[in-house]
Amino acid sequence: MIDPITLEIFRSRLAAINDEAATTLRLVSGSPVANEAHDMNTALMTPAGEAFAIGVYISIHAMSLASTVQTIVREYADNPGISEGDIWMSNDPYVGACHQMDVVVVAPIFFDGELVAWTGGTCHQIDLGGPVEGQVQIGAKSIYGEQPLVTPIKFVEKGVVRKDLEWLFLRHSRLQNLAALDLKAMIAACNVATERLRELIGRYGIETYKDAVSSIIETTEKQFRARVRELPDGTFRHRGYIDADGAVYPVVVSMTKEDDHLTFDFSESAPQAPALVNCCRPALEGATISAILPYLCYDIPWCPAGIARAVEIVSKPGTVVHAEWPAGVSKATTTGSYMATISSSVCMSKLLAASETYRDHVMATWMGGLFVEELFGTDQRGNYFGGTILDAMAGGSGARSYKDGIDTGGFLDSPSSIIANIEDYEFNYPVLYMYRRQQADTGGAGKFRGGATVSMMYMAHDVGMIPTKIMHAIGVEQPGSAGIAGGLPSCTNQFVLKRDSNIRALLGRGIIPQELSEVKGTLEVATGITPTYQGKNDVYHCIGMGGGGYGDPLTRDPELVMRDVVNGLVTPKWAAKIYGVVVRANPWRLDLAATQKQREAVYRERQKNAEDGKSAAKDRGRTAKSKVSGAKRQSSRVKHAVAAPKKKLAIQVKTKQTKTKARVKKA
Amino acid sequence: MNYSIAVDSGGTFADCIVVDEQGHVTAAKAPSTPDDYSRGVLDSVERAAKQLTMTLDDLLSQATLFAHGTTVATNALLTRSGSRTGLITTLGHEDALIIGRTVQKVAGLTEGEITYLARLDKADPIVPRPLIKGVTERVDYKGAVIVPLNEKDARRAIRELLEEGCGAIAVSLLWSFLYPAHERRIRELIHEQAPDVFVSLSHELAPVIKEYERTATTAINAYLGQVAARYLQSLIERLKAHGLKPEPVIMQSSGGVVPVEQAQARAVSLLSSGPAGGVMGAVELGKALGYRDLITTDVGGTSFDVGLVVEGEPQFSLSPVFAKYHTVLPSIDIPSIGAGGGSIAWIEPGAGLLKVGPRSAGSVPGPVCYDQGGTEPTVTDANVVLNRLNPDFFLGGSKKLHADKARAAIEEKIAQPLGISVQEAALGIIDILDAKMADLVRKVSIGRGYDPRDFVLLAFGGAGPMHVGAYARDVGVREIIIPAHASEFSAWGIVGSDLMNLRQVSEPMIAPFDPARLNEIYHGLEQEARATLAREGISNGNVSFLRYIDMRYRGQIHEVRVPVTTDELGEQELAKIHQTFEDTYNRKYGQGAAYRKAGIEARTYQVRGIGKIPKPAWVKHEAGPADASPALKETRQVYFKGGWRATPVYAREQMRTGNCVNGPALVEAVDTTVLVPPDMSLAIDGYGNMVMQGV
Repeated sequence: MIDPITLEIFRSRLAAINDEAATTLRLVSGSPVANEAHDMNTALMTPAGEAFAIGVYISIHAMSLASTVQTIVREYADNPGISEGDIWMSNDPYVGACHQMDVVVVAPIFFDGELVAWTGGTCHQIDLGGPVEGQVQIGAKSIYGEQPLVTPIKFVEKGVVRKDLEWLFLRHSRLQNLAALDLKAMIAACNVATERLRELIGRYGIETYKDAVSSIIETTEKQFRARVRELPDGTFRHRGYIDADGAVYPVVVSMTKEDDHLTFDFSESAPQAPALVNCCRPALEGATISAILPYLCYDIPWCPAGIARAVEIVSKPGTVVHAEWPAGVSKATTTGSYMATISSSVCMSKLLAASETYRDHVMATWMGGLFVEELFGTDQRGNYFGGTILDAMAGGSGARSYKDGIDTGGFLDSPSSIIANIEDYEFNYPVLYMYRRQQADTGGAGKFRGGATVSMMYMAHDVGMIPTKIMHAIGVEQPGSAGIAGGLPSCTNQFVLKRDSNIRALLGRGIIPQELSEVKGTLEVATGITPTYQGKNDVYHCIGMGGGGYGDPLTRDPELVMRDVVNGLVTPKWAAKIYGVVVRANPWRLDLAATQKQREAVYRERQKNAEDGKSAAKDRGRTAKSKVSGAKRQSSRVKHAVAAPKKKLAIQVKTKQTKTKARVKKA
Repeated sequence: MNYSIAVDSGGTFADCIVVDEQGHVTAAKAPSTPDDYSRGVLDSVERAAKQLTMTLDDLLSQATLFAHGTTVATNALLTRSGSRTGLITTLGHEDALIIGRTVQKVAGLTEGEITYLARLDKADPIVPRPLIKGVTERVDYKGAVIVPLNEKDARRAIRELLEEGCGAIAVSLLWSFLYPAHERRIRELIHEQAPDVFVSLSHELAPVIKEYERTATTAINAYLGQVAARYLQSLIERLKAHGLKPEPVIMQSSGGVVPVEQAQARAVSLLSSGPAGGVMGAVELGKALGYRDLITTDVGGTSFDVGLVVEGEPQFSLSPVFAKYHTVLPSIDIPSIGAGGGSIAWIEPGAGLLKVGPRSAGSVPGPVCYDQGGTEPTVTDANVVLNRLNPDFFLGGSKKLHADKARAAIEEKIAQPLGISVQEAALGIIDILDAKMADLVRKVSIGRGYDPRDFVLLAFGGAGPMHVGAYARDVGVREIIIPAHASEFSAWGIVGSDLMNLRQVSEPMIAPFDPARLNEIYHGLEQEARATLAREGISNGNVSFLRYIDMRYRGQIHEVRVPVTTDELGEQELAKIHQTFEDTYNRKYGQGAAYRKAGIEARTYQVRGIGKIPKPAWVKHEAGPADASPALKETRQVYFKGGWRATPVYAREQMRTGNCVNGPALVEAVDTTVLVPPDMSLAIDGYGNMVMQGV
């Protein structure tokens, strides 16, 4: 048995080795995806493919490495065999990749001829082929209409890259150089981890190493089970929604905590969609672990192999979170697996909220839907460009039981993500921002408020138009960030264009519009997945998703509400309507007497609503209603969600516009 | 006799170094005086004077140089005691400082802290949101004016900030480094209404593309300006009252000194001036010893700082973090972790594993053996238990350590729960700390593309020499140097630093570059730097320039700083710069990482004008006999892996150049103790440094 001192040295050394591999991946890649969005990760795994050390990047990725290794060990051990100096790759979500864009590279590590470990790196790509530029294969009817798949192949043999296989993979990409560079980065990461791990084993001996790894897994399991045991037994449920393409798919999880064990049951989730929004079983497993880690393992090593032993995940094949071949999954990481993480995280919060000891670890939902925008076209210098605007990563974090969530705090699965500076976007892409700010009334209301999200407005600049602009998100029709303990959900994701506007005339008159309403033009409201363009005089505006609130907003300290008003995070109107707090302007001050009356009025209205038999769900739905898109409550449509057959794109967009416009008019 | 004096005033001690015109060095220490740091500064000089059998006034009146590194700015930032500060920015971008690119919530945190999501928060804002005002104006990426400055708007914003009681105003507009006129006009408008308000303009302070970091730098500067000015004025008054004649110079985090006036205008540059002194000391020492590649390691009570010197030059951080704000200040890169003599050892609940740090007992209450109320065992306690630290000779015997208390704490809190002996527990604490420190050295060197085995490692700070043998061997360096004044090494580095006038500006351009435009930029920057240095009394002959260009592959993130070695660029020199960029990129980011097909972008241009301050050469002693036995104090039982060993203990003060001892051994100096591990040897070189090598 290894002593506790050597074990601690091993634990930090193994983490350092894995971290060095991740750093190598980021350095060699150099891409904003790896270095700012941090859409990558690395892991160290046992010979059987259990991850015992993962990086602090997007954690679901680390799990995809483990699933891929498990498949290789199961299917390919004899043919073509696993040997020293090999490196494997795959982007097959049915094997392990989260979706096709996340290329997985894994390598076996040998010591004295014995397979002692696996290492691996994975990194999101901008384009890997398929009919549509970028990740979202709009129009796909199944996985056959999405990016080409590479099942696990041994593309490096005895340390040498097989050019034929490398090219077989790169051939499909519209951005081959980028994909090739990232492949190199993942190989370099594997090589670094292999070299360091062998040095470590050389120094301490193979037996000590094996002892250390199994002890790390066992110790983590022991710590994790002890933590779970301290929490109350019970079943905690959440129902999250994937709204896409005119349909809504519930992701339903029922999490049962019994003694020292957690069971996540997803089997009541919606039947799978034909393509895009599903995720496969390996991604579901990763998604679930990704929710457990930040909520329960903040002081326990992130060693999924140990944690997984106390966790059971139940799912039904053929559902949106457990896709069956040949369902497509090209947008899985911002739909199926994203919502699986979010829904599981709500269960975690409810579990923690039920414990007096751990209540201060509750976080209502962090940014329950990531909004992504992909641009392709000719830049201001006449060169082809393709890129992603990821400002919406600065969504709000969930409120805590004792304080507010973090405004523009980012997202749960990747706390170190960075949004780009506007000056960098404007230098690289043909755009000019009117503003980028924290948006008022976007954080879920509560005794403690969810973090506010970001909003922005920009126009095309120095080009005739941006010909391809693909916007996609869930949480457009309904708010993805749930509140907890009486807290309200956040706003929805919102993105609109004002076509053929007077923006240039405004700027010419010295006016920089700070609200969409100041700009004249034809309003076009985008939904779920919208492929379109941005013309020379079109102004684009978007609001990301805030965090969920904690506790009843009527119990919020009026001083905090006034502070929010002063800081531009809550409008006076919202303060009165939701918080029942009356804030007077010039200078800002609280009217406590009026607040008392207003709170009573809001309370009476609630009682009346309850008596009228209106459901609490409706109340929440209304809270989340957004100014622009006028989100419509989905509960009736949700019950029997069936993916609507895909219509022709142009028509579809138009239909939705008309619908939305009508709604706006009514409002 | 003429004297050069430097004082590095830190959180716990003010360290003073005095060099006479023959190159003899005197070192002294005095406790810091946080209520008015200038008192501690003078105390340390007075103690040095005493060693020279002089009065404070005698010494100061004969000083030809007084150089100073101060923690005042850092302290004011951490305790949020700067000026009430307003920020004026481009309409629509008021929240940039608060959004903090969303990464602000984890900036500067360790991985353990990052994964504790429920406890993350952004910086406590140095400028509250109501004091951030947007004004109508807009410039684009070409520097073209899209919307002119609306002066009515600006006047209103200024009036509101003044009514709110702002004593300082930062101005940071989008693309101001390409078109500074709007910021300049706003300053005029501020001074029309309030001539005494402290104003920082982003294009003057940090004219670098990256609006968040530029704005943060400008705001912090405005926030600290008046604090720094008040402190420096009071210090100067005291120094002059005691006879100092020359104007003091102040250490910057860029590794050079500047006159007081500049230090006040650029207070943000004071933020890591002390640690920068240590790295500049390494550069200086490397010059004397003929080493160009060094790793510096500074171990104090709470933190372990690592710096790199490559080919004789300190490495700069492109975006140093202060109090959760990313900045764009030219600052020597000195990554740090919570590990030092005060690091607390504890048992991880549930896992039963021994952990060390990152929490520290600090100097109050301090380690258990200080007997000042500390109850949690620390690394210092472990060193006492293993007889590595002499309880009767800590800080030269001025502080008595209580070995029995240290032993009892480790026994109760660590040894018993783990079921091991108290010695094994103490050794475990030290081993874990040493491994952590080795991990950071590896991360700093290998993580930046350098092999630590090609470097000489410098260990300073009070606790460095005790641990360096272990962590240096772990990373594989071949030679360790413990400088003569290890405990005051930052002050030693400051006294050797030259005047530096650093100028930079962004103007992103895509290759092929126009050499004429680049020459224009560099000549402009040089002219400014030369004029400033001339005003500071540096003759033209003593001025030299270093020029750099920051480049990257298009669409990529990593920037590489390439030296520009000519003062007139042509096609040929540009080709060479391209090549150096690609070579450096490949070395730093991995062979094959270069992404040539993407094209190359130049972003920021930097000129460092160095004004040489003449200094005496360091005194070099002739080597005497290798035998160190005259310095032998005692033979003590010291615990190593495997058991107690009889270990000779030498008095550093008695050791002479050429003396050599084999491990295991201890060398006790007044302010530090060196542990020579069993398989290493230590020798005293001609400058009084201790050089340790494997045998």
